Order: sequence, then structure tokens, then C-alpha cells
Amino acid sequence: MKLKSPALERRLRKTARREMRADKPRWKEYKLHRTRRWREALNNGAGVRQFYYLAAAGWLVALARDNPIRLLLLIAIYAMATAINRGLTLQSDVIQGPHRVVLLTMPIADQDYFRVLWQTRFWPWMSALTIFVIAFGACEKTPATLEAAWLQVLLVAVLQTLVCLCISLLSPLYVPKSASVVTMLYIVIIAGLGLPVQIVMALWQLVLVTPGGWVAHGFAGVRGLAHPPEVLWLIPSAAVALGVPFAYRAFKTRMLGLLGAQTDEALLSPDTTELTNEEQVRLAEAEKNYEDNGFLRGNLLGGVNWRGMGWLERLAGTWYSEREKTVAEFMIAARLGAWSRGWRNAALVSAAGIAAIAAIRYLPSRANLLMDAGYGSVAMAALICAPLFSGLWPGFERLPSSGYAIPIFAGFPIRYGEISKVIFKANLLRTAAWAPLCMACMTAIWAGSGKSPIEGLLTGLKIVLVVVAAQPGLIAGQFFMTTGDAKRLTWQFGAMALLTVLLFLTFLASGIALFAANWDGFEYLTLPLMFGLSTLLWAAYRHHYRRGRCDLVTTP
Amino acid sequence: MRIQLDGLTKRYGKVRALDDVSLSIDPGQIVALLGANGAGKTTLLRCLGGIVAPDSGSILYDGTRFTRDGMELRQRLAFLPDFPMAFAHATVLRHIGMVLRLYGVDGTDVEDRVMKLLRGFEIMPLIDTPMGRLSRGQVYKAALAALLATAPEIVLLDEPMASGMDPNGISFLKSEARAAAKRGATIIYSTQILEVAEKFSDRVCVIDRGKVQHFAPVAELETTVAGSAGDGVLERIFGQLRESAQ
Repeated sequence: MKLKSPALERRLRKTARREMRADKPRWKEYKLHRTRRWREALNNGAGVRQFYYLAAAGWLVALARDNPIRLLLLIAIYAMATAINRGLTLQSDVIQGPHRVVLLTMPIADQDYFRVLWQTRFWPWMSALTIFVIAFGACEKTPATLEAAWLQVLLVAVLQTLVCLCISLLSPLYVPKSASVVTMLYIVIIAGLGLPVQIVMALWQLVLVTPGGWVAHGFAGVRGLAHPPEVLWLIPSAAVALGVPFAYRAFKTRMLGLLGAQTDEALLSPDTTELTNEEQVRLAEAEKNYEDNGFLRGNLLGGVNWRGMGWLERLAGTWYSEREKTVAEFMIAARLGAWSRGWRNAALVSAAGIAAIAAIRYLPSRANLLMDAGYGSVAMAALICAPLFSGLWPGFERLPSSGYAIPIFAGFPIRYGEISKVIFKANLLRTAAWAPLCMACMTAIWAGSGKSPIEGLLTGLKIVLVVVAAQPGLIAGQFFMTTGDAKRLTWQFGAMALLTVLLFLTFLASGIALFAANWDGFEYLTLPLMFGLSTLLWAAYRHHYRRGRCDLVTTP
Repeated sequence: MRIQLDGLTKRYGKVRALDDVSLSIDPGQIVALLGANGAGKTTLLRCLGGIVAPDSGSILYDGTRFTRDGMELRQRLAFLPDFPMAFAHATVLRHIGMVLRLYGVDGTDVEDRVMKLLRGFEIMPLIDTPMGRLSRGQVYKAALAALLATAPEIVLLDEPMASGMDPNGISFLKSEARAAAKRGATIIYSTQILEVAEKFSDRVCVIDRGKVQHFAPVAELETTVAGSAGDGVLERIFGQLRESAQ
């Protein structure tokens, strides 16, 4: 069964257009509303993907120059990660994806539905094939050897893709906690970029426990990057690849079983108007509570008890005014309490990073790993607890409404300034809490590299202050993401965009000067300048917003 | 609050969603917005609610120019889009409490008002249920209850009759709207159901391709709009609009 009928569409379009052409107003209206395919494709990021592939190719070639085995190891791990990830996504799409929700109300058998979905999900494997071709090709040192080995590269890439396809179909059935496995594998990929050679070689042997590793080892054997007998690993790989039809059948049987057991209510929300017995009891209880105990008093208007939360939230609660607390509760929504939790985790990560630096500095090949551990912990701690991009604020989430998406805050009486103030105060507190972690890690890295710890401390301080300085501009950015400015190309928007670019470039130059220049301490003067630039951007966008020069709607 | 629209124009790209709309709505009126799909009803409501900014023209509430950051006016106005603004994790009660606090509503009578609305919309058993687990109609009722509890002076509702609310809910909404209008509140809602607009409005506003074609009480339109006597006046108007478009 096919969901698309291009021929029918063409015929209908032709007839409709002929009819509309004869009717000028309707034809004019049609031209106003139609969306051209190429424009839609551009909106959806067509062209960007090719850029990613090119960038990936360049990066992989650079990586392979250093050590082809490292690249083959990463390919093997990536193969497993993407296979399991795609398997999980496919399973989730089959059971509750948008296709399921739409087709559930249509006369289509589960078998046909599954086939339709499979067809749509099969072609993205071509992107995996492209990545494998690029990656295996990058293992060749010169264009001449690549030219000689292109067929082998292509065949191995196809083999790797088929192995991945087979694993992706089987992993939802047999791999428990697949999501955690995928996350772990991706972490290993990132860490693998800087691991010392000894560890890379150990992992290179370890990766043989996965079918993804068999193909990589086989290729290494074929191309003389490993012992020739390694080529034999291609035999079990081919067996796995040949197992795709069986894996497909097993996956399909399991999915059809799940689909058969699925009820409509699981997907389409029930619209019950009759009260069940349980609801009747709850109704009576709610009424009684209200009448006897003043149930709603306090619960309804009291808001959240900030004092009963984590230390960062308690501090924020003390600093916020009553109105700011209300706005903060709204903007934070379900993430209330996440700041303190995040800080605790970040502290653990930082401590682990510092401990790693202290322990690994005595290893013979330590430089890469030392930097990785230190910078990794700084980056991870920052991502966990610092408001690097002004933080996550669910109040900015967008909900669909008549063809557009409206941010939730737009439905309620909250000022631009109120939201900004709440975010700024929270982010100032969070950054202050993160500052000791960042500075401690930077001090450890500098000390570990044999440089002055004081310099490391000052670098950490500079990073923290830059994050603070950027906050006003980032807050304006949060608003910008929820508005439809870019869709209204007015001169005011043009002026705003120009100002933003100028301010951003000046901010960037100031940042570079702060870290790179040595002006006897005068480089610190760039910090107030950066804060001023960021605040200017915030104020300019406030002016733009208040004057109603942007719509609080975006195209979803 | 008296609403005055003066030359309101709004474009989305090349599409002119509102075209020089000028209206004056007295306090205490219920106004039904009618029009074909894409005629500009939702855009008008969004402009009135401060969600989208008009390209030109002005919106005056009681003579004061309305901007989205003007909280004194914004807190007297309730806007409910076709898809209510609510966090999925928040329970009905938490949502109501949050809305009341954002609107700065306090006082002893607010709890009675909330209870009345919970009873009227028959959502009291759902007070501790997250909004994300409610049906579409139930979410709309909860969001509506929260907004009505703030006793707004202007209520803007996008397609409330097609919101998934059950007949009891719609009936309660009508009675609440009537009561609010009696107190001086203005209710503006969009609908596609002509019978509803005929019976449940003091004035109807017919919009076609962004322009206001008619803005009058149904009784007045009966005398001014020509057509066969068998049809309702609004049906006759839509028939004429269709003919003029052709």
C-alpha cells in the first residue's frame, strides 16, 4: 500500500488549476497561499545535510591521518550506536509515532500500516551508508590508494550498513535498556577522539564483541592495517547481513503483536463526559474538603514552597519578590528544583575530573587524556548546571494554534521585563554557584599542565564572567526564538538584525581580547564592555518587542 | 471596557489577514465573529489579545492604546486560543492557581468563583489530574475556568463551540458569558456555527478576506440584508459573499 499518489495529485492539480485560472480571484488566492516545494525544502534545511556530510568527511580524513585504527574503532562504535538508536526510534514510531496516530482512524490493516512505515524508514539508511563510505574511504592515505580500493570501500560500507540494519531490527527485541546503551556508546565515541593509543588498541580488540567491530576488523585486514587473518571477520559479518530478512520478520511479528494489543484509547485521548464511580467519589471528597477544611485556600493561591526546595531554589526564593516568584514558577514549570540537582551532579563531575587529572598525570602517555578529563569535566559541569544559553525555561515552549505556534507565556499577562528579571536573577545565582567548580577545574588543568595555577584560576574566573556578561543578550535571544521576526522583513527588523550582528561581533572581539591579550590587567575592562553590549541588545529587543514589531507566533 | 479598533491591518507575507478593520464595541456585549476559513477571525482575536502586532492601525481599550507589554490592560483581558495554553504536567488546580496569580487576582470571593466554575464545567474530579492527561474538551474547560475565574473585562475565545466541550460545558459557558456581559464584560468569540451566532450574540461581525462586511445585531441584519425569507439572515449573508467571490 502506498500513501502517496503522485499521478493522482498531478491530475487533480492540473484540473483544479485549469478551473481556477478561469476564475481570477480564486487564482489569485491560490497563488497567495500555495507553498512551493523547493521553498518548503529550503525551510526544512535542505542543503544543510550535504554540508554536514562534507564537514564529516573532512574531519574523518583529518582523524585518519593520525591513526586509521582509531577511525575504524570509532566507525565500529558508531555503527552499533546508530543501529540501536534507529531500532529504538523505529519501534517507537511503529507503536506511537505520528503515522500511527493518523492512520489509526483510517481503514488500513496493521500489516499494511507496518509496511508503509517500513518503507518510509528504510531510505534514511542511505545516509548511514554515505557516512560509512566516507569513513572507510578516509582510511586510505592517498587519493591513489583510494582509487585502487574504491570497490572494497564501497562493498565494506554496504556490508556495514546491512549489519547495522540487522542489529537495528533485533536490538529492540533483545537489548535491554537500549537507550542507555546508545548514550554510553556515543560518550565512548566522543571520548575516543582523545584517548591514548594504548587504550584505543585495547578498545579495538574489545569492539570485536559487536558485529559492527567485525566489519571494521575485516576491512583493516583487507587494507593491511591489521594482520591479514583479520579479513576472516568479514565471514560472520556477511552472515549477519544475510540475516536481514529474518530479522525483519522477527521484528515485524513482534510489532504486529504489539499493534494488535494496542487500543485506540492509548493513542487518542478519551473524551468521557460521564463521571465514573471513582470520579464521583473524588468529586464528593473534593467538595467536602473545600467545605470543611478550606481546601483551596493556600493550595490555590499559595504557590510553591520555595523554602522546601534545593539550596539554589531557596536562595532564589529569598531574592525574588512575590510577583517574581509567581512569574518564575510559571516560567520554570516542571523544572522547578532542577537547579540544585544539576549543581550537585556538576559538583560530582568536576570532582571526578579533578581526581582524573591528579591520577592520570603520572601515566606515561598522559597529555591527551589529561586535557580530555579536565576540559571534559568543565564542559560537562557547565552543561549540567551553568546557564550557558540562558537555561531551559518551559514558559517559552510553543504550542500549536491555527497553523502557527504560540509561546505559552504569550497567553498570560507577563511583561518582557518581568520575565527577563526572573531569568537574570536565577542565572546570576546559578552562575555564581557554578563559578567555584569551573575555577577549581581550570586551576587543576593548569597545574596539571605545569603552568601557573593562578593563571588557571583567573581563566576560570574569566569564563564565568563572560557567561554573566552574555546573559542579557541571551535572554533577548530566548524571546527572539518565540517570535516571528524573521518572517516579517521590515526595515525595523533589518535594523535590529544589523545591530545584533554588530553587537555580537564586538562582543566576540572583546571576548578574544579578554582571553588572548595581555594588557597588564586592562584586558579585564572588556568585561564591562561585553556586559554593556549584551544589555544594549536586550534593551533594543525590548524596544522592538514593546512596540509590537514582532508577532508572538512562529511557524511550527 | 470599550473596545475601539481603528484601521487595523495585518499581513502574513502577501496575505492580507486583516484589511483596515475599524470597529467600536461597547462594554457588556457578546460579539460573534463569523467568516470563512482564513477570513481573519483568529488574526483579529490574536491582535486583540496582543499575540500578534498589527502592521498599522490601533487598538484602544477604554481610550488607552493597547500594547502587549501594558499589563494594566492585559490583566483585564482573557485570551483563549483554540489550543489552550497550559503545561502538560500541571494539574488543573495548579493551572488555575497559576493563572490567578499571574493575573494578580486575590480576595475572598475568588475561591467561590473557582468552585462555581469547577462545578459548572463538571471538572471538579479532575482537579488533581495533569492537564496532559485530559481530553481536548476537558483541557479547554480547565483553561476556560482558570481565565473566567480572573473575572476579566474582555474575554476573547477562538472557536469555543468547536473546542471539544460537551453540551453541558457549552451551555454553562453561555450562561457564564451572559452573566459576565451583564456585569459589563465584553465577550468576543469566533465560530462557524451560524445558529449559535444568531442566538448567542448581541452583535455579529462578519469578516471576509480580512475586511469587516457586517457588524450589527442579528435583528438589524434581518431588515437590511435581502434574500429569500426561508433562509436565516446569516446564511443569506454567506450566500451573498460566495456569489460576490465568484
